[in-house]
Amino acid sequence: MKTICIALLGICLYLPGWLPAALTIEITQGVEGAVPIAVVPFDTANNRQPPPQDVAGIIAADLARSGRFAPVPEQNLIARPVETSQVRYQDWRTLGVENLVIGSVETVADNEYSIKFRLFDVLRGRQVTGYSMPAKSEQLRYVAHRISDIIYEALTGEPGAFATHIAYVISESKNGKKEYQLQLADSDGYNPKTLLTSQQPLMSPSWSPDGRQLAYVSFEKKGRAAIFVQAIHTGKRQEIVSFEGINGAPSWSPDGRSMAVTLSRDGNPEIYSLRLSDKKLKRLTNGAAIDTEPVWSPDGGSIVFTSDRGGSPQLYRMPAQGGRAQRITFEGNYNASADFSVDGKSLALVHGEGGRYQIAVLDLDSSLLRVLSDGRLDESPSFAPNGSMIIYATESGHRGVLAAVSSDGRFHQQLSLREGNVREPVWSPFVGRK
Amino acid sequence: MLVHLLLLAVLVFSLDWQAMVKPGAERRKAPVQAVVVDASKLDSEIQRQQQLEEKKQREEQEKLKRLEQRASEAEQKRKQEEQRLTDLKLKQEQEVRRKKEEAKKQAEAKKKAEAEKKRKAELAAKKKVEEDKKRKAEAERKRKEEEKRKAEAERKRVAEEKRKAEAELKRKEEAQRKAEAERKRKQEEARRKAAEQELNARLAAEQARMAAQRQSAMQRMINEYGQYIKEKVQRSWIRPPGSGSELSCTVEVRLIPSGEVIDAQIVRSSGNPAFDRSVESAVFKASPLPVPPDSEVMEQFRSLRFEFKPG
Repeated sequence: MKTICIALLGICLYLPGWLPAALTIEITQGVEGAVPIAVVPFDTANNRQPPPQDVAGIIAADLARSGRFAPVPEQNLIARPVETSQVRYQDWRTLGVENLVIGSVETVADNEYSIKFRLFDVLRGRQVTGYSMPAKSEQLRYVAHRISDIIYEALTGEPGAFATHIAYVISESKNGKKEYQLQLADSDGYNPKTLLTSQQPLMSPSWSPDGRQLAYVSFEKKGRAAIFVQAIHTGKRQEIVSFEGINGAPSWSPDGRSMAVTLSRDGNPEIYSLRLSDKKLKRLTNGAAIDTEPVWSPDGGSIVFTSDRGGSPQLYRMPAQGGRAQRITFEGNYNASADFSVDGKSLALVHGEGGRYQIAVLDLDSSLLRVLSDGRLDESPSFAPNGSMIIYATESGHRGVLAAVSSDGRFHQQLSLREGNVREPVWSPFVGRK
Repeated sequence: MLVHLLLLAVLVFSLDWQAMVKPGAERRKAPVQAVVVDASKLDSEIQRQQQLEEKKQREEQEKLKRLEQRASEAEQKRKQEEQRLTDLKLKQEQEVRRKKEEAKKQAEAKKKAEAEKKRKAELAAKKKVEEDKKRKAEAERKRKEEEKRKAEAERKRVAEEKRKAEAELKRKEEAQRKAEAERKRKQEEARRKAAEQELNARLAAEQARMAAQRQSAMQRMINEYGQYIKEKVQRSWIRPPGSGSELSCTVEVRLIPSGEVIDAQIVRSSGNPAFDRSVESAVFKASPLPVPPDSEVMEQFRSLRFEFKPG
């Protein structure tokens, strides 16, 4: 009888429908945050002198700045493997990290290095990717940024934007004279290079879509504004327009053939479309108000600009050929300096309310505005080409400095820069990539 | 005869009247035509007058002669009529005589026929009486025969009925005997079945109770460990920053009995690679999952499905 009972119970348990085929467990809560990653300092044993750059440190800083990863502090690393065979996944799992980066920098010739790295998936216990890259000493930072891009893309599915550049205007007083410089730096603010120095103000740098040229406004001609285009590598520059009055706020069209500019040649600041091949102008706005700071949508179909036609500076959107403009910002008494995200779905902007000016992101579909920064006078937001971060200028110690915020607003960082008052940073597009 | 005479009289009178009228008419015409007369013509006229006189005389004689003839003829006719009437009277007397004779003859014939008729009727009546007698005798005979036949049939019927009644009685007795046996058998069967059923019911109740107990214990364990697993996976899940609550995905996980995750497959992607990856990582990071020590219950945990849907 006991056997019958047990047999019956067995049958009951295996009856389909008695219990669900597979247990389903709902997971509704998780910690929104950065994924722990361990970046082990790269092995430099095979060098007579230590390499001039801490490659692993640059990578860790890049990943941290994105807001998506939380590198384990160096002092907490439980091991320093160099080779795959030295990796003990269980140790890293115990530490709670999901991914591990190891590598080495090796001198292969005079001023020539070979950089190797491997990325491991600690949880699944396997290597995700690994490369060996050559670099001269002055390229070590760039190579480190490239490695950051590879890791970022492998783990998020989105391209990294670390090996890109930012352009900005920096001004400082030298011997009682004010000097303006147009500078170019790595995305982390390192490696600044001066493209142009002027005693007169420089303003509004704007990247060409191919990342090879910068347009900007210069007052070098006896204080009269003119728009110039300058090639990054050759330094060759060309004046584009210099009409009576304001010549400002250049913005390249996505196809690179036109530029939207603000001109007051007809009496009032209006937005014009300038065809670069023959410099033919087309006026896009017409009114008594100030219309300025045009930016093209990534699809080239429309232009967003700042206008005070409603009484306070707000953002408006109009067709790229001109026509009826629609107001798109309604929160706060100041919304200006728009920059499109790469997918065209949101705008970074300066949002002013209660005497504070902060960086915000406007979702164009929902019209929801989200404030990301917490400065008092934050300005000139510019999206990274992968949309993961926004760079902007903020005030610190009575001078302007560069700051970056992850596009979700979670991670803020001031970028290290030398002395000077930094204004109007613009993030470059991807250069030389798909 | 009188009629004949009258007819004759009428005939004579009409003939007379015609003869008288005609000559008078001719005479009235004559004086008008005799206005102019000559001598010669007078001679001839006298001559002609003479001739006419002669002719008149001749015709008077002839007329007289004819009247005489006619009277004799009438006399003759009257005699003939008298003769005919005499004949007729004779004939009538003969006819009456003949009719009297005939009537007498007929009366005799009638008397004779009646006698004959009476004789025949008497004969027929006699015959009829005889026939009736004969018929009645025959009917009586037949009736008696029929009665006899019926009596025989009745006797047979009664005998048959008696036989049948006996058979029926016998059959009933047999059926009753059988029914009794069947009833007893059924009673026995029912008793046996009831006992069996009771046993079975007791057995089943016991089994069900045990199964339910086991089942609820298992379900309790499943719920309990499901909660442990849920909590551990939630602790392990790091959602990508900015991934809104609109994302969700389902991952299927296979465990070995120790609770270690040996495989995790996204069966329904969120469409966001980073989100999907975070979900897989969460499951691996939570490995080994807390699983029940009972191997039967653990079987339920060998294959798990996680639905990640941030609130």
